Amino acid sequence: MYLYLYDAALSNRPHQLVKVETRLTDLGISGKISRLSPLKNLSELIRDEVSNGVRTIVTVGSDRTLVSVIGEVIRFDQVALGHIPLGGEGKIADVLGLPLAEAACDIIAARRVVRLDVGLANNTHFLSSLTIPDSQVALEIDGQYQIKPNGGSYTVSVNNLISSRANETLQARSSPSDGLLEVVIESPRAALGMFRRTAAAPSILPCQRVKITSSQSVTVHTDGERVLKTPVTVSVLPSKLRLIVGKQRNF
Amino acid sequence: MFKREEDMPSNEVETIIGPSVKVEGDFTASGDVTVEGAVNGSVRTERHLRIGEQAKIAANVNAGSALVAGEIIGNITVRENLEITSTGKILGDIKTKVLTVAAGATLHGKCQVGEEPRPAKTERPETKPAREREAIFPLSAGGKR
Repeated sequence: MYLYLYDAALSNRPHQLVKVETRLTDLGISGKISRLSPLKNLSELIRDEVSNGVRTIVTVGSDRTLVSVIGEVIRFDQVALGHIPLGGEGKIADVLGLPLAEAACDIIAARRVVRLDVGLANNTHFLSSLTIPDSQVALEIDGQYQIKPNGGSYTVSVNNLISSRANETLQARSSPSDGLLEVVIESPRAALGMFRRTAAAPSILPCQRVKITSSQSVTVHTDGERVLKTPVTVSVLPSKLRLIVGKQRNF
Repeated sequence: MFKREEDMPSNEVETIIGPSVKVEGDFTASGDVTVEGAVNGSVRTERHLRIGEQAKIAANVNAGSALVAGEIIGNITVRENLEITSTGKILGDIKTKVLTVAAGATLHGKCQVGEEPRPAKTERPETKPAREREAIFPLSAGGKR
């Protein structure tokens, strides 16, 4: 059984939704539809539907819609999560190899399920990365060693699912199902002249747990959206999420 | 499709400590490690360790194999090959199986290179026949056979 969770912002895209629903019916994978809203208790909704026999939950909307249900879906090991990108940001969908709108329905029907790691920052789950732009934070990695700035500020990211625009070394080395997160520390580009700029090579540190602290409270973004404040403890939940992915995925 | 195996990216996890950061503590990794920054404490990896020209390490180092182009203050134990380039500077003792030192490298410390000698078995020679003893210790008695 399928449960489709529509983003609240999709009410202004009725034509595209009709196309998606028609395609889902043609493929024989239509199911119950629920519209997400701040007033709806997502945890209760998913728990009730899983107890009624739902084994596939599909979010329809942006990356934000997909990420918002991860924390609830990973509670049920028998449930697979799918996503149909429609409107809004779609960087995570690109990495997962999910085409837009009705084309993604075929991916859901093909049901290529992979187990992916999920990142946990304090109590917030994230799928792709956590970023701290331009700051002087201290990192404690796996409780064994500390990383401190060598003067100046830098950008820190803790990555699980690497975007196709990330540095080549990182893309080649990391996997969202290896049970590890990659901490990437990049120093700001130093100006050489009017147009030329150079940057020191980034640091890449695979780890399972990282504690981020700072002398002053610093803003932390998870999946480019949610905002936390330091101190933040980040850990990985290995192979926790069963996700339906496309053939064109980046990993 | 027809890429040679060496062209393919390795599945081993690689750790890179860039020039803009300083590591303090016991740094342990299971994959290859490249250090271009500063490390204080200890460095341990089962695989290859590469110390870049700008790197400054004040730590005891333990690795599967290593290439040193930067500065290390501390003792180094390498299971297989240790290569020190012309820019390499080591202030500490070295223990490795194979050592390569380029002209211009700095090395202050004791070197222990090669396989560790195995302790000889203590057997009573009088209990063995003379021919068997000769087979076990062919160069004994001043090298005469």
